[in-house]
Amino acid sequence: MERSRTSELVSNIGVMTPSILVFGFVIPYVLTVMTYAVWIPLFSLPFIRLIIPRRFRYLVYRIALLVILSIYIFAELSYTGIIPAPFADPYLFLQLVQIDVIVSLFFSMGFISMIEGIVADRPFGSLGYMLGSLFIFGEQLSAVYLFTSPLYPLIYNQLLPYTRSLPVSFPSSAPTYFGNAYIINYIVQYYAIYTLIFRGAEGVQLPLTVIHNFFDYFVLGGLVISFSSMVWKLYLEGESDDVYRLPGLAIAVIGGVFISLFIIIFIDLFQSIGYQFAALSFLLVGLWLTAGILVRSSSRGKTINI
Amino acid sequence: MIRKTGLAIIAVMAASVYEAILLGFLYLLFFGIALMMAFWVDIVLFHASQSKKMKAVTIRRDLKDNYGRKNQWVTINLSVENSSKSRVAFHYFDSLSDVFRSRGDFKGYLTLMPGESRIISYEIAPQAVGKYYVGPVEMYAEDPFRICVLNYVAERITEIHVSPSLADLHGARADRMSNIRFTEGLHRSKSVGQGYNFYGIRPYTESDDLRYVSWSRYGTVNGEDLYVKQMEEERQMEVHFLIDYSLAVNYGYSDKRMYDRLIIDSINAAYSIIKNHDGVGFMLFSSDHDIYIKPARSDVSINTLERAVADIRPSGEFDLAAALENVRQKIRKSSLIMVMTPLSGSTHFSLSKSSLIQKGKQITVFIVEPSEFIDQSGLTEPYKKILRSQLMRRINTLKNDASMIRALGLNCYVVQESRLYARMVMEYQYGKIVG
Repeated sequence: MERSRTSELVSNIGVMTPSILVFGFVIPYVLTVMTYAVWIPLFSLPFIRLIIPRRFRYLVYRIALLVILSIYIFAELSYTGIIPAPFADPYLFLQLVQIDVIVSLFFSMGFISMIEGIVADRPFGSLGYMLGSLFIFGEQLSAVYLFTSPLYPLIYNQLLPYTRSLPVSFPSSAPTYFGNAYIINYIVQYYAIYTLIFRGAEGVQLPLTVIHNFFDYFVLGGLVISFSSMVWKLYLEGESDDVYRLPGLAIAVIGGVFISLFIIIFIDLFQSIGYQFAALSFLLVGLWLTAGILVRSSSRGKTINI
Repeated sequence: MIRKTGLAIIAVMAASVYEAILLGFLYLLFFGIALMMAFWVDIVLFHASQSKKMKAVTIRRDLKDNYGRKNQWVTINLSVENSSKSRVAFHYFDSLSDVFRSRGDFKGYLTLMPGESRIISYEIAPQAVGKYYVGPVEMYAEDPFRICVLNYVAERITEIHVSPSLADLHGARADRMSNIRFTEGLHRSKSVGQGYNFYGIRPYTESDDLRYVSWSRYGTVNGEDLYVKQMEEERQMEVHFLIDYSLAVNYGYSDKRMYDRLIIDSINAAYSIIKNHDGVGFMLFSSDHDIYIKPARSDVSINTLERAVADIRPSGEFDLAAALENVRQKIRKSSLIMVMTPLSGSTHFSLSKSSLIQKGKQITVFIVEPSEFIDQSGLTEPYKKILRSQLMRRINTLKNDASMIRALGLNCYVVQESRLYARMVMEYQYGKIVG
């Protein structure tokens, strides 16, 4: 089937739907803590990349990364006194480890991934960018769920002493400040993973698992759209005259969904009897084993003589 | 075989599962596992079914004649049949050497229903002389997700033997017909003997044959003096072309390949020579080839060369000393020998006295410089400058080599291929004169 730039863009937007939806949902909260000096230049990077000549495009992110790292190094050196005035500005260093800057940096990275996913050329490129941006936006989503939960003040009061022991500066200690919810979310995640590994099950339920929000339906719908767009995009990529590929795609998708249902039921069953770590270990080891067997079974360069 | 993209996607999907666990994001967990399992089902089903299907595909290649001329279009028919009970779809391409120009479907995508057979036709035109292979037919099939690929090779290989094109020899034919260039005044020979052309008269001696007495001049001085007619003797020469047929001449691009041009130039020069009733012989020499075609005063030796070059391709290494030694052993008569080589193989010369001093043989070495065999069309100006400077260095080296060979007592010139034909004919003319 002939691939046009428009159909490619539409299918890319389809694949990126979950990221776009989550981005739209969390941005009102995240904007309250973001540093303009950080996110405005970073948000403009993908657009700069689109308008400059093609042969310079690969340089944009590299230069941006170099600039960020140099600022960080200069700030560190100024703070430790290795570089004298006029660079000795402790505020610069403090700003970098401030929660505002951290949120701005991560959120900008998610945004860049989202835009790159929308304009990606390759079908799997957009999927990779979607998962990358969703990982960052997922953190924000988790923090927003926690922040909007009726139980948040209670959790906040319990975990406040822990947040103060961290080497991160907070502009405000008020519970209404979103940055605090962000850090508390990290603490909860860290505790969950720690207990999952050392006690066999998560000691605390993560915000995205336990807190239900109307937005869940949007996320679910977005993932379904993303899945369908991915399949459609792969179909468009294939040979134009081979309509018989569709049954093959359908069998793979339906088979995949059924198997994953069984896996989720299996995990749920183990989780209910307190063997969550064992279930997840089985799952992860199983996934890697499957991948390994697939790769080994089709060794590189193998040809069949007929 | 799973493609790099496939491997990347498996890694990304596994990472997404980790990500979902870390966030406690159940929907994303389900999404990641579902997509990964879909890929898994796809790969397993594809590997299980496609091999069986592809093994039931039979392929045959037919072509009218295995012998052809350069630039002549040859039609190839690929018969493909699906003898399985299910539909099979695959990409195919018939492996072709880069000397072939092609038109038609030598590659494409095929979907065959159970029992269906199809004939795919395409044409190829070789751009250089030699023996080339068409095939094997390579096929590959992709899974619906296009993350893995299976390669199948049908070992159907056909040999194609290519002789020089008539178009390349056209110049020489026109030359022979016009009789303007190069052949003008070639019959100048100062030797006196039996022949048809009158040379002069001289006083009669007792040993002279009475048949040659010029009775019309009898008694012109004192009434008793007798003269005999002197006739110009037609001396026939033998010219040998010794062509370096090592890997070093397998150099060039599309229709501008050194070995092909050396053969064409030799044949063109040979036609000019046989017009003068002189004999022409050929030697194709390298460590792998030692072909000697005996000289003939007709186009027999040229035809033999055309057949010989259609069966081989340049290979091995060329050594000037070994080549001259070969000349000494194979060519006993006096002869004009023209050696054509790019001289890229030998870095030093160990020419023995016996190979250098060969009685009655006039040896000329033409070192063909490489500049005309480099495709500069796609190069930008800076690269062209770099290339030019490298070529100048190479040509200077070759000129130094030529001086050294001349110092050893052989004629030696560094020539461009486009001037080789003219230089060879000039050398032949000179050989005729100095005899």
